[in-house]
Amino acid sequence: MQLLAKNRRFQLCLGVVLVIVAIGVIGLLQERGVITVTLDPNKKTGYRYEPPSSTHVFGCDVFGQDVLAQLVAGIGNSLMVGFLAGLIGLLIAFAVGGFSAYIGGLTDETVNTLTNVFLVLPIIPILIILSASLKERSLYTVAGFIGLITWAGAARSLRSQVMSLKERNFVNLARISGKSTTSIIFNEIFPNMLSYVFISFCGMFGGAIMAEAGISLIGLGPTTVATLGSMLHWAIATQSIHIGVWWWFVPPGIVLISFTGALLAMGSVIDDVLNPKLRGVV
Amino acid sequence: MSLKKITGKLKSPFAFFVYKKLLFLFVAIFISMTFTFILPRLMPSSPVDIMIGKIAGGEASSIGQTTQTGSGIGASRLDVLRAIYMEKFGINQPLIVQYFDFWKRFFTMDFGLSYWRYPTPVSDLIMEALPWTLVLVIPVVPIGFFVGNWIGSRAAYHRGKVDKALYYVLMYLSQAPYYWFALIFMLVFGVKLGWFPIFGAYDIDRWLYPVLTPDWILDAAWHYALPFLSLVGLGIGSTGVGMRAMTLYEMESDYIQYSKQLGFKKSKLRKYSERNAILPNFTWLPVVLSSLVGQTLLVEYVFGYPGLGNLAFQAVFNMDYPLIEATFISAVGIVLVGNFICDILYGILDPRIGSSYVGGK
Repeated sequence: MQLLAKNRRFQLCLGVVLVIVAIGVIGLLQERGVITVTLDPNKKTGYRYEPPSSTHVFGCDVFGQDVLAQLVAGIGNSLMVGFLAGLIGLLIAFAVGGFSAYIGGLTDETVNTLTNVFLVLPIIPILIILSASLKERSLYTVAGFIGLITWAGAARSLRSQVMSLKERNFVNLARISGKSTTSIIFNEIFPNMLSYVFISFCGMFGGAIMAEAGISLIGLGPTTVATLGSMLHWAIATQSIHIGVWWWFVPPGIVLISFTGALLAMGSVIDDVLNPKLRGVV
Repeated sequence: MSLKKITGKLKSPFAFFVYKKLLFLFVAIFISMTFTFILPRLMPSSPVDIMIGKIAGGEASSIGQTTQTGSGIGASRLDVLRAIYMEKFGINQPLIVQYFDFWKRFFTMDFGLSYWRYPTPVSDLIMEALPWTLVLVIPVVPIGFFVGNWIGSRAAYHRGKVDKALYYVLMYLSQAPYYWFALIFMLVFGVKLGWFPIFGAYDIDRWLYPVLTPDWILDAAWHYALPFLSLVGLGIGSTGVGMRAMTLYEMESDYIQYSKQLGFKKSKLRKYSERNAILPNFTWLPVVLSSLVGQTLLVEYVFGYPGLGNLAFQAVFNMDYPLIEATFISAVGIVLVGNFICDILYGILDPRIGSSYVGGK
């Protein structure tokens, strides 16, 4: 932990993540009417395609709505989708990867095949066919869909962790002393792989935000709220790029890239610090 | 047990290897198709409800976002309409019958007529779009593989700041939002500089259909540049990360250390380590392919490229369910078949993989 705190790269990444999360929280609170920081994202406050100025920092979109206000709201909703999807995915991954590896045998074989299949399945086409079957999709539905299909990578890495941990002496001791399987998994194995769980979560969080933006890009994301992806969708659908309105779609992309990039880098730094063997490699 | 029996029959270990991979291909197709058959049917609303909603509720402002403005159609007539659609989609059948129908459509590749471009058969639309997607997907894999391997191994040789920076760039490239890069390329090279066209796969004002004349090929290549550029980073990034790690691992290994002691030239050492590091990288390809297909669909939508991605968008937008199903099957098909080909290639290139099945497990 001390090593982590001193790591310059970690500080930088954590800083980026925290700033964006803070903006996201503001966005979510504002949507629920708790506080007011930016202009109303759903009202016409400027004129069509107004370039960035001091009142509209990122200018206005085709409807004359403030882009910054949309961005703040979009970050909140996108992070929410990503966080929930990551959480759902992690639960599935842990249930699938963790338990099956500990139990072993036929269960493990079956589950492993299933994991391998889900690992190669393309996320976007599956999301398209799932989303197309619903008329209205809330933030939670989309998060559920994403979580349901992106767990495979994490399941595989957690599985290999459990595989190595379950042969350790302290686990054997617990087994001999008659503890139940569930208790061993949660009390002995789980605490020892928390860092891996966290790294997996970082990866899935970032991946889910990206998946949400991708599916929203073609207009199949949440229909009830605006996200970073839906901003891109409307920018494309109204052909704003063709007339060079960069301020509408560049900011959401930059937020998307810096947030997911920082999460990824954070995961690898944690891996680096906690794994002396890897030190210097990453 | 049964596996052992078959191993006995299949004399060559390589045949067994292929057999095992084929088995995985079928299992993967079965699981993915069943999964996507069941999930939409667990949803509270059915495609019919959405269609009825569209007819009854007037205009659809966006996909799925119907504004209920009321209409003149009475409720009883809507029920009749619903029954007709239920019949048409086969949703009034028991689930198991629907499931068999689904597989029948899958094996015969007969998805009926498209609603969106009635009366063109869905399979014709797919065959029209599939080449465009393949043309985008296929070159990215080998090009990304070679360039990624080259950059990855260079990064591993030159440890230090450059390596660290390269590592983060490569790692990020393996998971970046390529649809956004596509937008940026479109803005910079298409709109601001005007070097490349920003819509379609060829000039539709000059040619109604693709014709294989030099003129047309040149024009198609010109349209191809930006979508391709937006996607190629994905292949480079994913293989680059793997190659870097593998090269580092090989450089630390005993045989390289020993050769170093013997005073081998650096270039010789690199050649050895590179050869050994490239092979495990093959196992990355299926994962690369999987995310590549997804990103390709999105990039196609951005550029209006007439591939599967655009077709899927049109299908969803026009609620053409047979077409949605068919585009989905094609996209998953590309990934799974590509995955199978990669596995087999790996087995051919690395004899250890094929022969490891000799003894069986």
